[in-house]
Amino acid sequence: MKPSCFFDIPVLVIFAHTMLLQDAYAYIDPGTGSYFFQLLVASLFAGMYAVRLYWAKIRSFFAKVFKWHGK
Amino acid sequence: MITMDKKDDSSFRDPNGFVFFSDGAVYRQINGRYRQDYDHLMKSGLYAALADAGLLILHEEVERSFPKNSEAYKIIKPEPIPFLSYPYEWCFSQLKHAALTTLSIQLKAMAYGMSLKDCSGYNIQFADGKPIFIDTLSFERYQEGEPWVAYRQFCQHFLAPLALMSQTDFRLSSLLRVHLDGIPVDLASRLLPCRTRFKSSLLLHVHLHAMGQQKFAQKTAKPKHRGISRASLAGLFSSLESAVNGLEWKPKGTVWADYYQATNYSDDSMAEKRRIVADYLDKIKPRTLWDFGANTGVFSRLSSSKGIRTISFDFDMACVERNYLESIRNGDKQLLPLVMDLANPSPGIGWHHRERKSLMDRGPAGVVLCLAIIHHLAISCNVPFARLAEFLAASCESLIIEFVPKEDSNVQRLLSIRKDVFMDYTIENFEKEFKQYFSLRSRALISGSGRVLYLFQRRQDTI
Repeated sequence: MKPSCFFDIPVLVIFAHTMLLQDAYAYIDPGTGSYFFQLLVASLFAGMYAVRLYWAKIRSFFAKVFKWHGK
Repeated sequence: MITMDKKDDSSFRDPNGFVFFSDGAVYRQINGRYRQDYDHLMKSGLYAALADAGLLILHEEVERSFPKNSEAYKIIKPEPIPFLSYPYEWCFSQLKHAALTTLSIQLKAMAYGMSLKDCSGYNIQFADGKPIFIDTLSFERYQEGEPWVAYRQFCQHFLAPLALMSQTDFRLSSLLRVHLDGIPVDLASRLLPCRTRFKSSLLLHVHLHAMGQQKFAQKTAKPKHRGISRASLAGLFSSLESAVNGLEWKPKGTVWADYYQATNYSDDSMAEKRRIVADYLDKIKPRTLWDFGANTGVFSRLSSSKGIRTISFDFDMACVERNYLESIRNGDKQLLPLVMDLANPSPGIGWHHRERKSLMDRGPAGVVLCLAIIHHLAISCNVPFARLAEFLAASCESLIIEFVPKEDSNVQRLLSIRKDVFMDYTIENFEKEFKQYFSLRSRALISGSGRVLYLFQRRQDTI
């Protein structure tokens, strides 16, 4: 099972907070902005991708941990 | 020796080469500066992989001697595209399939050490019923750590319009006609409903992307900034793919999409109409046909089933969507449904008004089919018969047109909400005006309907 979109939302909200603290510029170049935006979220993409890829393993790991504590 | 008759008006932005015409065929010049990328495309196996998958247009290299100091490295001859269409003429699923095709190509390119350097929707065309990438010069060798330079373009050309059509209103696809480099993500962010901020893919690639554009607009790229791993890029592509796949639009409830359930034809009359149209097509044997006001494409399919390359135009996106999905189900390679308002057809736009061709510049068609539409153009749009005949004569060599008399219940419905100022709307006047531009080849009354089907041929003295 893949994580739902709600899994990603807390990460994105924290990320959005950093984006909101910004200066207002009179001249906007969307090409440059997109370039740096992509760099900023690069680690997020890698993390999300890895979580999706290893979701089953992560789930079984936590299942084992909680089962052990429950003994 | 190939001589260049004319450069393509839309091929001037890329210094790596350009498209030109010679003896009616399309060629592409590849300049020396693109040599290494082109050689990598051909020798790495990427071209063969994309060609085998039907994702990239096939081409052959053409022998030619170049004049001294020419920038040319090679000349290639791509397979011709029968009819150029543009993203602002596509329905939702056509744009979605074009987006997914582009992403598939990017994923394959990465596997062969290349990447797409631009992601314009205009690099996709529809041929044989499916989207295909036509810009052979869009591939560049992938540099480790480089971000995907086409990310912004992908979001503007595909994701933003699809999100707007799916989440706000499908008619917002018309913004693509205004914004030739795609819908800016900040505009899409403003137009999308608040609930899309809770959809992680749209929050990231549209809303946060728009904020990021503003925040980082004045930064300057330095080498140390470059550092996106392949895993990050894989995450980016996967995220974009699920964003596109997560967007849906179901055509429903428009008057026109349900037209054939509410038509005033009896089954017998409809069968007779099909038989007459089929007879006319057999008589003319055209290679191309434009079906104006095609609705969901019932008569377009009659044409495409005879092997005629058929473009099926309607102004209602719900009809075009249904038509497109039906043609995919049928595996129809001859039919291309497009969104087009005949009262305001696609104009020539972009640089010098020539970058994207007008509808008329893409014609004329062998035959134009105008069934059950004349009353809408003449009465709803107030276009006199003389103007209609002039427009249709510029669009085709032969014309199959249905005259709908004023007594018809559908015309009466149109007249019930407006003053009848259409004194010239008579069959005599219709024939008189159309004979200014066309010779009458045949006419047939559709029994039980009062409607008449005409077969006209354009007069040579009017060209």
